Amino acid sequence: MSLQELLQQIVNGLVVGSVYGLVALGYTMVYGIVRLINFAQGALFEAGAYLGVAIFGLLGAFATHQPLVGLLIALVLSALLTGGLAYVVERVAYRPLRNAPPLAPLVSSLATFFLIISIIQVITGAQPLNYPQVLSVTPWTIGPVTLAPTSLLIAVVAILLMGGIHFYVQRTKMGKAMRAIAVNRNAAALMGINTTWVVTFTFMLGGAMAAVAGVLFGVEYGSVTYNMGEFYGLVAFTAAVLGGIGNVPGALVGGLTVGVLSSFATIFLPNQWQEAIVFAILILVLALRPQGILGERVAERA
Amino acid sequence: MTTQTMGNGLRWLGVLGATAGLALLVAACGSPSTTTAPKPQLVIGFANPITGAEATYGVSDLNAVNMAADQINAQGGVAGHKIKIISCDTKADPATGIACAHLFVSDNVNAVIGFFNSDISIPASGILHAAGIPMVSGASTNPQLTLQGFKNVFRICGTDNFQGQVEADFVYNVLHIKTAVAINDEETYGQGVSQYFVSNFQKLGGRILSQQGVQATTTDFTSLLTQIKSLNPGAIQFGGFNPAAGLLAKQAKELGINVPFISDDGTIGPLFYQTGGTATVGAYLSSEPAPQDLATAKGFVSEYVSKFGNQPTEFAGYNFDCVHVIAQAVLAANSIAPASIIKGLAGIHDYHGVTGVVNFDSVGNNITPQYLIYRVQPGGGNAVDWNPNTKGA
Repeated sequence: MSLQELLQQIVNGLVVGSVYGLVALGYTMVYGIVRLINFAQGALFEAGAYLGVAIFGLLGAFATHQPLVGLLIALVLSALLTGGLAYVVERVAYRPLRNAPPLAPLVSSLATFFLIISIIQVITGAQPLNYPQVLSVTPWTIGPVTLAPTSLLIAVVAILLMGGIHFYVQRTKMGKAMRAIAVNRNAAALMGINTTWVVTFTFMLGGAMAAVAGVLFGVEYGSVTYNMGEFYGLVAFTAAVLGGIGNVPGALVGGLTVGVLSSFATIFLPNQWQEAIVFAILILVLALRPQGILGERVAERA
Repeated sequence: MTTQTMGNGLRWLGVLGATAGLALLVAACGSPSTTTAPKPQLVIGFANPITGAEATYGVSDLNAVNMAADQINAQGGVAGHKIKIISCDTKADPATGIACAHLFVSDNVNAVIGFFNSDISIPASGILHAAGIPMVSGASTNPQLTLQGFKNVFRICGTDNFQGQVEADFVYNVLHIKTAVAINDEETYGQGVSQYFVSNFQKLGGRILSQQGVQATTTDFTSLLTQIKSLNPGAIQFGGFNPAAGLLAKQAKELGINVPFISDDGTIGPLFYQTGGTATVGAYLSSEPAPQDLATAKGFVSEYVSKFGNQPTEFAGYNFDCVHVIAQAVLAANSIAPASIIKGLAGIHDYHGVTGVVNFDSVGNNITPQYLIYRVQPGGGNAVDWNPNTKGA
């Protein structure tokens, strides 16, 4: 294999990995604060992608003339709407189970996942839907690698957002409240923090990030399918675990690592094995380094 | 063309329909004896989906078959035998379609045209084989139909395998490209087309640099395409369906792979362009021709349009030719006995129909089937780019 091919595979992996990272953020933030693996995250990613299709549809001709403005509107609106959906999910599926054994909300999150995906399947009739083409497909050649404008846009938006979330958690009052709840929820409540709202807000933020990832995914691949949330939800979960679940920068590190590793997998194994490799990574991490690359929780590192 | 099956729910309705049809037929057969027909009629059973999801095709095929019969009858019939078409609606449902086959057997028809869907044609051909009735298909493209060892089965349209052959011919001899990679979606249809592309391309002297299977559900092909890029192929061939085809075409362009992309009639249609966007413009797609795209079918199309007020669909021309080919076989055998028609069909030589030249090989496939290479135009439409029957173009 040539050096050029190696570098190109790394770039491919980083682009797809940044989308994984964005979805992984939702897993990791929720886990860091309430110790719950929110499997509905994959469905929120899918819901965000489908809302993006609907928004582009409503924008109609405007989006064809101003594709970048259209994309910005789709990203913001889809994030807000999916954040709202995450609010509903938290209110209906998790809050009533707050004091139940930990297994109950986990099962509830799986049920929510399948519920959302089934609703999308029923509404769209399981037909793949298409995104408009936002940017040209003609790639740039940067040294030995080629990079499509859309791919660069995706990586930049995803990494900027993850940086923004890291800053938000570390530097703002709400972020401080999140970290406080992660350390000790009861003590945080006694300090006057509205823990209920902070937890809800964390869910919403995770949902919004999943929606952004969903819309970026749609723009990159041009086509969304009703079961995309299953595979990408699990890959993002793998990324969160690999990076260190509960650790915000870990989501980025995990996402990029999974992206690059699965990209490399095709060098050594037939192409069909690409998806299996991702989950082999998950098993290996859980067996060998369960705390992930960057270690455990956001609060302990704060 | 893929086959499609509707539920079995219509089975009883089908049996009921078949029984009613039989009753009507007995009544119908009873009356014409009073007319002055010097020779017995040449009765052709025609089975297609006349109602249901695929009715657009079936109705158009029925129109074409009736048109051919009327033309021949207006000229005095086939050596004096007037053609009578008995139409049976399969509803694209195998159980109903098989009831049609039984109906034809009990009616002692002289020949059958049908059954549109490959998954009906295959079991129905067995029933007709047992009864010794010739069957000509103008729409079922699954290779299996003619691989059962039945001497009574003939097919005018191409098979899925021929597509791969036409693609290889086009890439090697028209585009003058000598290296290619072949990708398929690991489903029977896509694998078949791709495999036949590979073997024919190699037979012509071309080199296949890599042959890859992908999962139809995959959305990210960039790492596969990066490997392909380093192989520096002259063309990329894909056997399968959308969205995989559109995604591959798009991601190849995004990686700077600017070589021709060739796919098949599983891909042709609006979804390819919707998924792949402008990256699909210029891609080549093999497909059986629409009659509108055939120079030989100009007269057929204009007469059809003036008679029925709409355009004939993809397989109407083939079904029109089916009637004429059966008539030719009757003339050659000088008999309307089913066994003689089978012999006559096997001996068909260079029949020039509206869809092209018909010659049957030993298993009953047309050895000069029509497949055209279409090219995706800006805006997503398809235009004929190459016709293998006018080679060198």
